[in-house]
Amino acid sequence: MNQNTVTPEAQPYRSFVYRQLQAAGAHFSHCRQAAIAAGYAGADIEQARLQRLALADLSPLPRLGFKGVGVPAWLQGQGVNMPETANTAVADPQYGLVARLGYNELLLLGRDAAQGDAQERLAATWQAGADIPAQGNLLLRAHSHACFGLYGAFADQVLAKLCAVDLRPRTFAQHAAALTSVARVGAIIIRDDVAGVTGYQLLVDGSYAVYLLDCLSDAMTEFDGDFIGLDTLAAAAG
Amino acid sequence: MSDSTRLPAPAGSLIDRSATRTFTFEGRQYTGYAGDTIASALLANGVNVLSRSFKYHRPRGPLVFNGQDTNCFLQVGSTPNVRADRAPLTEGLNATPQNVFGSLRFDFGSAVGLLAPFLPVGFYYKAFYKPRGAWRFWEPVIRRMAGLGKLDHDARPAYRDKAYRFADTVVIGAGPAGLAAALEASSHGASVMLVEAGPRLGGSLNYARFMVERDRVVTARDELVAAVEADPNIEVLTDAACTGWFDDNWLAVMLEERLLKVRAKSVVIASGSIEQPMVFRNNDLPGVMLGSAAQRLMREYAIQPGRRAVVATANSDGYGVALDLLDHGVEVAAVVDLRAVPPDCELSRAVAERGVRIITGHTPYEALPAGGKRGIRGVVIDALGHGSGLVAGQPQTIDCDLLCTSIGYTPAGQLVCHSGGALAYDEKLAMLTIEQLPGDTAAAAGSVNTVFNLYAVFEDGRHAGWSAARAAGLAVGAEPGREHESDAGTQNHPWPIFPHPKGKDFIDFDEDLQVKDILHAIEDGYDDLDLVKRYSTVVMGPSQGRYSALNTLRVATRATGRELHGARVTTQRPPFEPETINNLAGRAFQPVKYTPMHQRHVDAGAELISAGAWLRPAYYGDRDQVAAAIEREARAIREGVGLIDVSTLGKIEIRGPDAAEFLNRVYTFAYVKQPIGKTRYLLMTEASGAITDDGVACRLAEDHFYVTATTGGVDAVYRNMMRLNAEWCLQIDITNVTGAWAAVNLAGPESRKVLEKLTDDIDCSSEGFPYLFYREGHVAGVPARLARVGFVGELGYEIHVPAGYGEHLWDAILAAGADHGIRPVGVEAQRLLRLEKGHLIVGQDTDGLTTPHEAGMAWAVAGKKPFFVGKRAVEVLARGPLTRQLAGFELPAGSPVPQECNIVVRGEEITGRVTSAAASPTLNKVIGLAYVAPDQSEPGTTIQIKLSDGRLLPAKIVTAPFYDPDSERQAL
Amino acid sequence: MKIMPCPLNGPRNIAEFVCGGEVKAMPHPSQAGDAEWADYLFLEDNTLGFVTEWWLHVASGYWFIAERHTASNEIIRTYPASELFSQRVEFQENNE
Repeated sequence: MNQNTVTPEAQPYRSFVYRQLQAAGAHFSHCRQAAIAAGYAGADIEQARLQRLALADLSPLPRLGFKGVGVPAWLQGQGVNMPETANTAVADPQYGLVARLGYNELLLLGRDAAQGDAQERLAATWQAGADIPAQGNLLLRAHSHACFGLYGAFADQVLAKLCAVDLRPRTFAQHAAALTSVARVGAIIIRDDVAGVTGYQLLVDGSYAVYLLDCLSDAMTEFDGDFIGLDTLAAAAG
Repeated sequence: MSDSTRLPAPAGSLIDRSATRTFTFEGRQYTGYAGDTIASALLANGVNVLSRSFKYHRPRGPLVFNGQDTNCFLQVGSTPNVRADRAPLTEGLNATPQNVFGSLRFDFGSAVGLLAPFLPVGFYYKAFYKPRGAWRFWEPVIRRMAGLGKLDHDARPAYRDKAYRFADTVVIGAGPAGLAAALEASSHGASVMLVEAGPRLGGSLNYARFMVERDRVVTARDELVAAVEADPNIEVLTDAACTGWFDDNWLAVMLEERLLKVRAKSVVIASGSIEQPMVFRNNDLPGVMLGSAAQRLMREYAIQPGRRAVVATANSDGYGVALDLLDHGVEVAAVVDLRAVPPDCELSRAVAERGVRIITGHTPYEALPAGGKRGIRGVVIDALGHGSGLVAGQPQTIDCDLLCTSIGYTPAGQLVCHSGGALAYDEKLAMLTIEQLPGDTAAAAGSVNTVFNLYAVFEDGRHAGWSAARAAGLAVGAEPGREHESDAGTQNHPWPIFPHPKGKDFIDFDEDLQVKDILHAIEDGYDDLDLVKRYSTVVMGPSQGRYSALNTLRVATRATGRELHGARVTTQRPPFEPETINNLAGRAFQPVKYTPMHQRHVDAGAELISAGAWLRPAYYGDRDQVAAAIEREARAIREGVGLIDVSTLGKIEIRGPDAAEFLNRVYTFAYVKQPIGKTRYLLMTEASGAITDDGVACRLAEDHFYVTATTGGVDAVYRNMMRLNAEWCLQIDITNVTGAWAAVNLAGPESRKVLEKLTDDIDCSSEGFPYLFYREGHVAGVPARLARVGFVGELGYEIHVPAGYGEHLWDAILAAGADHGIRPVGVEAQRLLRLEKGHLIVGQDTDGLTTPHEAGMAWAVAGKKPFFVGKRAVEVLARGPLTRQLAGFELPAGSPVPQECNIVVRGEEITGRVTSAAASPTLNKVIGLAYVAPDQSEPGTTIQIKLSDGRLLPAKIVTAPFYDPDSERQAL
Repeated sequence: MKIMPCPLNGPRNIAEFVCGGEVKAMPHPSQAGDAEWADYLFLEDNTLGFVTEWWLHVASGYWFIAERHTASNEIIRTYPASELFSQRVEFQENNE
């Protein structure tokens, strides 16, 4: 789709921070019912940002959650890859990154529209109600949470200004997950490197998205961090 | 500045002679070098008086010169209390002395010194607090006399964010022990943070002599530093002061412009020791300094501290000082050794071989002031008498302009005490030692651990690094061995305190306290060290007892007849070093929540108000026409249609076979028989029977409820639910979905017409979707949950959509409602409308004690249930008479509107208070809710409301709701 | 800052947690006397020593049990609430 024609306000789903992205010069592409920031500067510039320090708004990407006793077994029955231990994640080719938060809560983080379609089928199966766990809830994680990707050599130092958990790459392994407080706001942090670059997905309640973006931007200033778009992430991931 | 004032290289390890720095002190211009501190540059320019003392305004020069010398406090620009022996010299810097009237050379305040006999200890308490009120007169006078710098009231705080840091092992102090510990811990795989307060690694290796062949010290230092700097596992922080050591190895590290909050698995304290001053008459004059201060001046800054020196000592380090003075061109008139028979050592032999006179069994007894007390011209020494602190009365004078003292150390163990460790006096060693470390993840190494022999210090450092790596959970090999003695017993003279009949024998330089002041405090009845401290202010000055606590402990303990062995100094509290408040303040995180439609409210000219962390639109319009705006919005809903953003409502989903049973237990009403597709009011009480929250339960399925809670209450409600079910083990899952759903209240007689335009899968007719029912479908093309609610008392729909669609929904409804004159409606109008309907707001119309019966909510209590939280208390309270009741009142149009919390009075008695009040344009009168005495709650009763200005306002009790009492409009 | 070892999330700064008070057994809500009920509601033992408390890790909404010394503040053990509460609690109507 022609990028110039895609605007956030033409879509029913809107990122909590789309105005801030527009102000930073983003151009958008289409992802299901949303416009997602595809890029801001040239590919080379954004690649350099990715290596050093970069922030991407991943909020419009598909996300889905389930919570309750019996949920892990049910999802496995649906063919979802399941992390064996609490607070870790595994990649699933069909649904995206599967994060297990605590014992009985699962979070699916899709990377593209196809994974979003798969998640939607999973949600429909749940809502149809046959053979689902007796207790448990479906969680609209694309709506309840904003999602930011923070990448680069300085990413852990930025987080160390906002979060008291040790997120250094040497201690917080790839696909580790933590539920903690970031800038005094409850957050989910998942280590998710991109092409060898240290990366974190950071999810907060959508109502805090503008506030958290402000905090992140402020903390990134010291290290010259800037926005990157989804195109740069996709190119890096190959 | 001519370089002839500086010693030739290699002296001056910290200065860069190729880069000069020009600066101003007391209005005069001087030049120093990059790498100088302000104080070293001044000394190199011959300025040896840097401050005036606190009480007597005596001239003071460098005493310890370790970056903590309180004799070197200066004002730099607008910053007071800059430690001039630490602060780097920068180009164009402008420094002024503190605590000075006139100039440093001629300080009028020094006339106070002539009054010294009239300034006894406890002077302030005795002189200025009587008669009552006198302190208010004297305080500004004294504060000005005793000031420490000037605050710039126009200064703006700089922006300083803070940062967390993490390490397996933090090593505090980068002297020989710290360097060795860091390397050892790193060798076992630990991530190490090495925190050094000074600008350079090496600690005492940088300035102390240790041995005759000092080249070996330099080589050892260079090798260690190179190894540390090359180690990728070691993060080195210089000019970084660890100021506090808190629970579980949580350390405060203060950088110049940032506070670090460091969490370590283990800590090595290698903070070294602090050389201690001697006590004798005039021991505070410029020209009297610690041996280590002279060594620092020479080695680090290439400054000759004097021309002709006397060294007073009681350990081998004094002989090292003498050798260093000789090597840097200072004549050494004599070494005065307090010990009668000093043990033989390499350094003393070398001093003797250089032809220096060594006088044993003697002590300095008085320093002789040079003109204006700005230096010394000699020292009176005396043979030691029989008994501690006594001299034999055989004085002899030695001419000199420098007196260096090296009589012992005290461990820099303050940090150890912050988190549960302790220091205590060891009489055998005549020093304080670490009696207890803060837990088994802490290790001490080097002279703070009373290990002084340099080889033993390296071993001690390695051992501490090994045990720290082990405490951090790393696999370590065999415990490193030790071969060398600590030499702890040969460092300290047990009583280097020689009071003089004429006084000026200072025990605390910060506070100008002499030996007799301590003794007088004890005579005045303050016979405990902590009381002596508070009464005399000893150890309370800026150096916090670094140079006074040991001698005070000795003097006070002996004077009170207590045992010195095992005695403890007064409590050490953070911070160990001064902290910049600006850095502590840092960036304040103040989370703020916005609904998905927030920007639309701002664009529509909304005035915003806080509701917890949320910002909500109060009303749309100009601030100077609030009433008009509220009336406009209220009328839109009463007469047409309005749209309220209620996304902030708490939302909780409960699903499982026990869902209805769970609601029955946590809310007062009954839910087991609630039909699917219908809503029911929720009222929550706590165990004491007081109302804590309310909301609406929508039954989506037999086992599935969607529950709302108040904006401010939902977090507590959710926590409470989770906690209760952890105990009850009911088969349900509870999820707080507040953020997942945006919500609006579309209300007003025209609202159905607007909704019908936006949905094609929901029957909006009054039969298809009656009042209090729940429906699911699509609105504006997105999935939605809808409930017919009546909070504002008109036909209305609460429409919930996934939050990402919130702005889209808002836009779509406003567009669809344009033909019907739809208006966005703020919180103020919503509150007015619900008041007209007599609906209470939990937290506004209830307080922490309100019971359902008091609030007129007994209808929402299902008494037949076996249990709900608060049931027993509600029943007990219901048995007794009510003490108050919430009732509606009204006043004629044009009456003043009472404020919330205006009291209701009956004669002298307070019978209640107003909780809500507003002027209702629809009803054309003032209405409100108030607590009143039960016998006042009958409709028709007149109550007296006392307004904020004291006037009494008669109001009539009426039956709520005030508007549409039969609730026909909302059920349309 | 003190560390709380959370059974689910591991060691975290105690600022991430909220104390929910001591674990104490509720008397039978309909059979207990008023005095017994008032004691349960309003009176605390104020023990000097180890107490068993409810703690909540706020970010994950996880309630667990901690045994903590009220004077030294030492936390000796934390564990899931299911170790103490594993049976469904029923409230029977008073037989009167």
